[in-house]
Amino acid sequence: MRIERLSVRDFRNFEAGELQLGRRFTVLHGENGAGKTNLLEALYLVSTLRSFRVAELGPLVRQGAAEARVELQGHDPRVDLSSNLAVHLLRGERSVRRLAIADGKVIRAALDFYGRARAILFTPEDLGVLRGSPGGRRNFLDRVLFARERAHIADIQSYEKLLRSRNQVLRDQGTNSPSEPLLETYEAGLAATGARIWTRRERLLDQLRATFMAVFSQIHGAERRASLAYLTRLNVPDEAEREGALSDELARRRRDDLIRGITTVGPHRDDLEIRLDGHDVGEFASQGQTRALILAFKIAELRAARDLSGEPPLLLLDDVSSELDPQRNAQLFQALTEDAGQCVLTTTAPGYVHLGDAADTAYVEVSGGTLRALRSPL
Amino acid sequence: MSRPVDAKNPLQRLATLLTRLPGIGEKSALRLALFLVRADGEYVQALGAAISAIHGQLRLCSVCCDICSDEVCERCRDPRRDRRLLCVLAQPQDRMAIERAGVYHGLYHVLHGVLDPLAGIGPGELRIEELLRRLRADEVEEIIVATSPNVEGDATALYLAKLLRPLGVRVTRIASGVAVGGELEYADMSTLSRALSDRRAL
Ligand SMILES: Nc1ncnc2c1ncn2[C@@H]1O[C@H](COP(=O)(O)OP(=O)(O)OP(=O)(O)O)[C@@H](O)[C@H]1O
Ligand SMILES: [Mg+2]
Ligand SMILES: [Zn+2]
Repeated sequence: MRIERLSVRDFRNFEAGELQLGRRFTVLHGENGAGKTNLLEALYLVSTLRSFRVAELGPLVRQGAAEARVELQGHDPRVDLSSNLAVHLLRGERSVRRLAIADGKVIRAALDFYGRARAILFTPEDLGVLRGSPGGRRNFLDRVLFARERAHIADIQSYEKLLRSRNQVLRDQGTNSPSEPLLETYEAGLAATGARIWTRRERLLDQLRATFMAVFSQIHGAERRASLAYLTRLNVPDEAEREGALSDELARRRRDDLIRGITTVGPHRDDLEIRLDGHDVGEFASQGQTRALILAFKIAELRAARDLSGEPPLLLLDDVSSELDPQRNAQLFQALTEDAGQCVLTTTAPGYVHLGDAADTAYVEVSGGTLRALRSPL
Repeated sequence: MSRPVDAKNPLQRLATLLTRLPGIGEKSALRLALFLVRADGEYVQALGAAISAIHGQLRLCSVCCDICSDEVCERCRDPRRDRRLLCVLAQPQDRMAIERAGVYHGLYHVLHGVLDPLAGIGPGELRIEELLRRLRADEVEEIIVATSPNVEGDATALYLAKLLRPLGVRVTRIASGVAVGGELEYADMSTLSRALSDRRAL
């Protein structure tokens, strides 16, 4: 869907506001605390029914208001019709009720609402992923997969339950004697579900790798090589053999696992590895390089999603340019202009933005919860 | 959470007791209690007697572990039932559901739960010993495991299969998939993927 207008009412620090989006780029600029990220959050909410900042949606309703409304007016090119998506957040006694509305009709099942306005988000918090824990990186991968394949959500949930069950059986071993068949039971489930999770993650990285590497060298320069790999203890290139391999390895490790009371093999121990010239990013990469790596990953995700559905998702870039030097910034914008989709980005310093004065770009100044469209960049 | 109960007020006492029932909140409990105040005396007497009888008279069938009022339940005693088929269920209400469908004429076995180590339920907490005992004595040829298609139900079915296959019985699982009479497009994705992977030849 091409988005023409975002309207917010009693959302975060906005009492009422309307944002006309550019056909390609929308640049939101303003000082700290103006409400730029809030607008990205509004767009993200209509895309995913969630916030990327808070788990519960209460803080999204403006202080003192009872109900927040966010509405997207757009154009669906596949049917050549205008389309309208809205999310209302109603403050209740204890929680906030969420209402999703598509073209005037309330959509009860969240899964039926997702995907109508697909969005891919970059926030500065993503930078922590590369230096953080393997768990954070697995989540990072799984979130990409959730947007593409709904079955992945169910598999991750089952896998977590099976894992906790097997670990509990390992710890109960002292009291419950005949637990071999019981362990085998959970191992069979873990192997089947785990192999599917493993294969989806590997396939995703295989799909993104070439674009990721190319976009990184476009932004940062060709003198450093970025690489992308899925790290797993078992080396099983044949997808059909992974379930069996996992099952065998779980059985083989049973004695060690009994001593430790945890399951030591499976996709819950795997990792996403991004390297720079073969070095560990956490130890080696500068802040600007880390940013370029994550942005290259997001752009690769965007292009893969476009190839899959024929329509590029909306790209949301929060505070995208800080830490990049002027030349790399220019190269980032060069890479961004090569994609045909819409992109909304925020910045405190419009000088960072290299988009020129084209008619397909909207410049909007945000200040203290109000919006002002500008004719051209400052 | 709740206000202190005036023990001398019979209406409040009844309402408080009713809130312990599953699915009954404070408001519904009060509504039920008020209904009983106005209901006719004969009905209320009968209801009270039925409730007190539950504990004295109901027990578990010594063969299938279903709830019944005798040593052995009527299904286990029924000579017309097919003794080669045994359907294993998690709860008595599952047995009632299958019985209502009226299409199954074999025997039953009620486990009283499903495997869930996280809730402290291992094989020892289920009526599995009783099931094994039946297999030694009875003429069972096929065990149909009818647990729900979720992590706990799947694990219970798989565990029983591992335990029972070496004893030479056929172990099967009821199929799961798209609801009959429902429309394919309304099935959720896990149901659909299950239905696809459990497909069978026509
Ligand atoms: N529920 C709410 N009601 C009213 N105001 C809110 C609410 N939630 C957040 N705010 C205000 O929104 C502002 C933050 O907006 P936002 O995060 O969008 O800033 P920003 O423009 O992205 O700034 P920065 O450049 O620092 O990232 C703060 O002033 C905050 O007090
Ligand atoms: Mg911000
Ligand atoms: Zn019986």
